[in-house]
Amino acid sequence: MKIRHLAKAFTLAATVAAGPVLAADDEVVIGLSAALSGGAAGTYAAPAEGLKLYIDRLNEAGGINGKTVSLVIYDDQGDASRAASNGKRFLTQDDVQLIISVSTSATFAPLISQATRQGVPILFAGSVCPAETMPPAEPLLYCSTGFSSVHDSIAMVDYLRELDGDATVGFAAMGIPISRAGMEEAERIVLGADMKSAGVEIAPPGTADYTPFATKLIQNGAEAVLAWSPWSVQIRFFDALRKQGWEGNAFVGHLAEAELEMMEIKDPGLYTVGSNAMIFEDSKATQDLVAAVTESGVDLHPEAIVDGWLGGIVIEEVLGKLGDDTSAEAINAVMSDIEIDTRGLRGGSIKWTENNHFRETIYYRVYRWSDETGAMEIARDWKAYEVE
Amino acid sequence: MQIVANIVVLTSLYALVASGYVLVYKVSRVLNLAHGELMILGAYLLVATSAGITSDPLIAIALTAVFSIIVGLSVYLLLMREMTGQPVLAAVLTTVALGILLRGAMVLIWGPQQLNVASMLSFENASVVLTDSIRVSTASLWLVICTVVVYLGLLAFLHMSRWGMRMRASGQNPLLAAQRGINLHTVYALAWTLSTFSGSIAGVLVALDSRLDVNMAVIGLKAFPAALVGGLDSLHGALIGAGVIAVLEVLLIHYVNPLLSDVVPFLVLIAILIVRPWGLFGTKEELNRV
Repeated sequence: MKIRHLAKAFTLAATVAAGPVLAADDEVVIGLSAALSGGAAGTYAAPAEGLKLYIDRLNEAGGINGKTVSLVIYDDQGDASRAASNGKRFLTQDDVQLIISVSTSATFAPLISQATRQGVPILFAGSVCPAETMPPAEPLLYCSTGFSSVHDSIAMVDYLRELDGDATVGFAAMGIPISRAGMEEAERIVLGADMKSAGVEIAPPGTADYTPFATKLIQNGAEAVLAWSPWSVQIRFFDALRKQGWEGNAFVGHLAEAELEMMEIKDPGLYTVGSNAMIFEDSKATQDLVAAVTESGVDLHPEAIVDGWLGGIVIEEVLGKLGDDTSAEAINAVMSDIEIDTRGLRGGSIKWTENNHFRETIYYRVYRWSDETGAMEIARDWKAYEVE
Repeated sequence: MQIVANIVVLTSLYALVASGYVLVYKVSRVLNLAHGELMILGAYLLVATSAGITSDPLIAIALTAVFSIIVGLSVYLLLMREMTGQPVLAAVLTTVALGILLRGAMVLIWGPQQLNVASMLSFENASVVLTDSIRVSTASLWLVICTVVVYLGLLAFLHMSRWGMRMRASGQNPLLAAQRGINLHTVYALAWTLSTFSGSIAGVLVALDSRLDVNMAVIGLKAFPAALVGGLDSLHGALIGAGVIAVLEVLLIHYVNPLLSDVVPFLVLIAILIVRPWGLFGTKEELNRV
């Protein structure tokens, strides 16, 4: 039916089968380990494609400072053992100068351990930001992704307090550490703000029916629900609440699938809180992105690739500041002291320092569907949060 | 009371899926470990039908039912038929391979993204108020109704129709059944077809209720303890096994720890396998033959 997916698979297979890539003097070799297939691909495959598209366009335009970027892509399926294998190939066969991860948190540990041993920096560009990128940051780990469980949770609670500070709040998480950490932190903030909690419901991976979890939140008196987990889980929690006639507001993390789904659901009670701009805004930045996708002829939803596209912008800016030395060490030196212009796709720049490889200030916007206008709308514009 | 409704809906889901395991096992002694994948393939067939053939939801669902019958028949004729006479383990491993193949093919064809099937079909999965304290979704209500209809239909078919009796006879003693003139291949093909058909109904209704992605094949795995607890060759056992697993899951979520809901069904499964390996309503001697 959709032959393009077959074509993508063959392209990927060809990339993998091409064998080791040896760096020429006029190129920088970057390894990309991404969940292109497997259970998490719904969230990560599109940003990875977006990053590839950005890099392809850079190369077509003559590269950066006369150097082309050779992107070596391996699929890790969101699986730790495959990520370990990819890391080994990047470092021993492909001789990469930088590794990019667009995958699940389960893949981080093996990639990090191998790359840091060899002194090769890792950029998380579409993967959730690991704690090691936040102050005090580990030397070789950087993150440009727009979502982070703890910071998103802080922004969600903050917006909820603005909207309805008296609400009893329920929390929906998935049984994976990063999701639980986000929602447990959100509950702690809520309780610290003298608001009431309806408890944290944690659904195991592979849950067949989210209704019982939603029932518990409703019976505990949840008037608002916060969720931070893979999109498929967030939205199934929301569906399960609505199916039982629950009429409160839900606040979820803004992930790759968010905009397209919200336009389908058309529910003004569903708010996404995140740091990426949405495509419907039709700003200069989003117009450029949409135009690039259209020109490429690649079957991609622009709404789903923003984090990958921003990863491409990061690569362009970092390599643009490199001199003749394109070693991993030189790339790391540039990354540890840089301010990246996000060109309107975020509320402000991404600034990395020696101590902070996440960003000094993170900007959040809140989106929802508006019944009045029959379109998506910005419920609250960019608000800055300092990262401590 | 909402908890009771949740238990009934989850029981229906597991029972409908488990009926597919039981049908194939009861007749051919093959444990179909690709049943979860065949289940969601049914839902993807609905997506394909509604996108490529007709936008009318009722016609799309009817065509999906026909296609799922063709899939079930094809799986038997092209693959499982070759396993006849081979060790049971070989047949089971073949279904494992089939499951992996189907999962990969579905990702390649329809992509890894989650699909909102209800929206694609303009199906409004509205909340249905049953009493003041009980609400279920329209798709869940259909799931319960379809499970009742499928079970009544299958029980009537197996016990009252000529082909049903042939299926039971083939399961009990294939050699004798063959000597009495029953065409075993036809009976096995019928079992695979009915199994895939009931799985597809479950897949379609789950997709209409809570979207569709390849990971939903894991529901097949979660329904597996239901089939085994009840007894792999017992249709009413599967229904009761599904009830046991659903009650445990929902009560654990509500009163103990939600994360236990993922583990305890399999603990029950292990306990049953130790105490009564043929399941609550399974046939002892049949299991020994496996």
